[in-house]
Amino acid sequence: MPFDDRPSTRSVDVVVIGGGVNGTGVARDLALRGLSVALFERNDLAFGASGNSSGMIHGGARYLTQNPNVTAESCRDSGYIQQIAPFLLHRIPFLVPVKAGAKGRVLIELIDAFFELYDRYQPLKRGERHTRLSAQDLAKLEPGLRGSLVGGVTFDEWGVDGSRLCVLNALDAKEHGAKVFVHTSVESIHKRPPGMAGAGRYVVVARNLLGGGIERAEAKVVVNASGAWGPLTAALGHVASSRVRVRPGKGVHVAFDRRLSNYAIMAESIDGRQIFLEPWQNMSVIGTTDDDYYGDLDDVCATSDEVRYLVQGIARVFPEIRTARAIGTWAGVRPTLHTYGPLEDKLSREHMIVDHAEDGAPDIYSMIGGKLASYRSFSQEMSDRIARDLAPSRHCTTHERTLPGGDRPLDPLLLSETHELTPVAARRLVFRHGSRAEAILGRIAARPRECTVVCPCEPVLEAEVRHVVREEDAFTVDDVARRTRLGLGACGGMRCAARCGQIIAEERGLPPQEGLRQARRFLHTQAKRRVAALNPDQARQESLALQVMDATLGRGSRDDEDR
Amino acid sequence: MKIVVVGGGIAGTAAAHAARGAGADVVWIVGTSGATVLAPGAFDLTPWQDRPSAEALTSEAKGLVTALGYVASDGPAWIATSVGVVRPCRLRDAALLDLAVLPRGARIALPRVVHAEWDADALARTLGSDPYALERELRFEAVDISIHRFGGERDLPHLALAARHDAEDRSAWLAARLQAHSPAPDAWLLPPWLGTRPETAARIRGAVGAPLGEAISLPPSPSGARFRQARDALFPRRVEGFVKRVTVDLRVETETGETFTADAVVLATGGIAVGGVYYTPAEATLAGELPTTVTPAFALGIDADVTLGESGRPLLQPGSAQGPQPEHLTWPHRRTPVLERIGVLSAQAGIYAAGDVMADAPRTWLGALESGLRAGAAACAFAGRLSESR
Repeated sequence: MPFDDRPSTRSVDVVVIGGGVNGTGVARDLALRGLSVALFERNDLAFGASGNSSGMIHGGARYLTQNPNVTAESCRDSGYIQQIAPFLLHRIPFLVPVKAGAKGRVLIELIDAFFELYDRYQPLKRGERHTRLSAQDLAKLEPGLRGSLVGGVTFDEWGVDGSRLCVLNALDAKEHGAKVFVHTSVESIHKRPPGMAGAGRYVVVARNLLGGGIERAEAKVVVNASGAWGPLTAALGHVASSRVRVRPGKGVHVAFDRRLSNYAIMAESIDGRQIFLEPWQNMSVIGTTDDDYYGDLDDVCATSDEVRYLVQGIARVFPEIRTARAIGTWAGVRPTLHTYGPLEDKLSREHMIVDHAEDGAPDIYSMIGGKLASYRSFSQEMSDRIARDLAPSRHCTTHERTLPGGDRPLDPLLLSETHELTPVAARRLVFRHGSRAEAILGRIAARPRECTVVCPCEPVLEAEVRHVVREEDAFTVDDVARRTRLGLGACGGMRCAARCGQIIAEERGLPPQEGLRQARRFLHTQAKRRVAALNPDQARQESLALQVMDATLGRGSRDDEDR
Repeated sequence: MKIVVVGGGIAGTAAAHAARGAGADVVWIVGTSGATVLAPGAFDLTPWQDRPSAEALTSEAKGLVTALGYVASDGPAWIATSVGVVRPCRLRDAALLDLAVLPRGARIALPRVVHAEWDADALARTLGSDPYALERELRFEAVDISIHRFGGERDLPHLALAARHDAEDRSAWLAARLQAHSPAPDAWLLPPWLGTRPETAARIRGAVGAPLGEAISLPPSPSGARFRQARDALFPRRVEGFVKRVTVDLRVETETGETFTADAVVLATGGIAVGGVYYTPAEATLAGELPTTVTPAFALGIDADVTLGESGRPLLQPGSAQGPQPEHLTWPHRRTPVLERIGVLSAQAGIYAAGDVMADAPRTWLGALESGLRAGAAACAFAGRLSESR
């Protein structure tokens, strides 16, 4: 592709760096207040911690004793998120099984009392109160539970698709005038010197990593919302990295091919940490680890010993996990507030805003820490600070105005009848897009072939793939997967990656061979993620996937695989 | 002499063929679909990404593949795949379209149909940009011609549509439509619908009178179904079932309790994809923190006196009680994954192994076929020596 170095400077009020949930949240908030915003994301929206979380906007019960305000805020904000994107959530009721024995009989009382306390916060997020269960109740509700149990306790949480949450925030920001640049890495942040026109404003220069073009934006304020990448971004603005210290904590999840249990189940790892098995969307997920991370943030991958650590812990209460078919792993790095010394689990989940005026860089702010569940209030806090000078009369409306698709409910069954879709396809489409599902299905009237299913596992329609390429800034097969879950099911993309690459190439006017290259790259990355969880069933699937690639696509050269 | 061949893929077929050719009384035990049935219908000696090898087929191999309905040309055949790649192969299913025999600059038509795995426009564009197509100036064009006959065919898998074309009236209907299309293209590249029987494609091609054929599709493909039909026609006598045990004195027991005595046995049960070899790391079977006993992570699905190996070396016990490190086993961490190279390294006297894994040429099928022929011949030779010594 030709190198495009023609500079085009756009002038905006605020540049946001980072396309995670905080970055897109701030961009949306400011755009709704009428400010002009440009957002730069080095990889893709939700590429980091936001898209690789446990997929819950949970109330943070485990922070209740250390940071009750984190719990309160998470619950309150979780309630708001439910109001603005009701279609994107699903209830996840948890069971906490307690082992029998003298210790267990005391423990269950403590747990019961603990959740009694947590119940105070539940109404904030429309959660049910906890229930105390006998061993018989447990066996009836969750026949997969094993071991001698004294009883258990339930509590209520909400599942969410973190990637969609970011994409919808970005989409809403765009619909209110913001510019969003994905795969665009900021390379420098410079302040216009005094005496020049626009003195004191920042010029942010970024490079498009796919096309090679340069984007330049001039802004009054720069927000560093790049999560674990935060210290790197700060350095570009001539701020010492030590001022934006995070303690990167790697968390991994393993996905299984179906919902293995009726309820989410808490378990304890060998080192006494709380881990869980949760039914999530149309699969089951186990998580998570929390380990200091020193590696490359653009290439975070679960390892087989992390997987074994999780499986071992879950198997103590739910032994079937050993023979369940794992279909993949994902890993992310939490940008936890930095403290030297404590164990990872004991680190504060609070967030903070660093004002770099003290560092000689006024109007540059860094957002550090935070949680998926409280992204909205964190974004509001940041936006309030910025709007104090730029738009003092405009107030935050992100908790009242719905995200795209949240304006009205759609009945998936009705849709499936009117559009000749399977009810599952319709349900999944509405889960991801809310009322916007109608717009996607509207495409089919003009081109009936778009009703065909590209990814049978999820399922994903051709119309949806084209929609996310056109409307939601998807540039690669990986991007489409993040937005639609294409290729993340049991077959690992072997039936859909090539077709998806073809569609992207067509929509973006790229050479068809580029579409195939993208497909191979996606299959390569997915295989790398899957293999850490390789178990007997999956080994066969892996062998079969290779057979399919060898038959139709080829594994490609090493050049194809490198980013 | 009595030879028991276990496995119904291309290697087992070749072994049965060789043993029968050598005058043995062959008991052939065939289980479920294997890698060959899942195969795309393109056979090679080396993986297809490389340039095809010029090595000639032995006359015996050529005889068998011709009998099975495959086409072996002197040069490589060039086949279009359903994702838009043009790949070479040494030997092809007769229903696939060989681009190599078309004249330079040929115009190849792809029918536009509404089907999830067939977007003629995108496919034509992708194939047209393949280096082979560019070099030979082949032009792929999507054309408007409806070859769906009934409603609901949009959602049928390729294999089901292929089966519909086995009916003579349906294949005649298709041929008539293709023939009536104007202007007539130099060749037709069709979705993989040309029958589950080897004769269907030939019938349609004969009626249209122009080169036509399928693109290679994802499994389950009609190519695999056609292989099974051809094999069954060639060797009507088979025992359907799964083998449980092969004893030291060469008795073969099936899961249903049937027992066959043999002078020699050929194991052609496949690799890890379809059940010949099982992967069971110690961690997978136990809920405890540590397995009480540590067994090898890989084992042959049949209880027999064999040694498993990887690329010709014996498989070692991994240095972890949890089993091997998965990252060391497969793609993309390794270009030639262990998973594809695990097979029987050696066996007791009288047991021979065959298959692509034994040939150390994973999924090239011709390698599997030749190893089957060798194993069949070797088994007969062993049985012959045995009867002489008696």
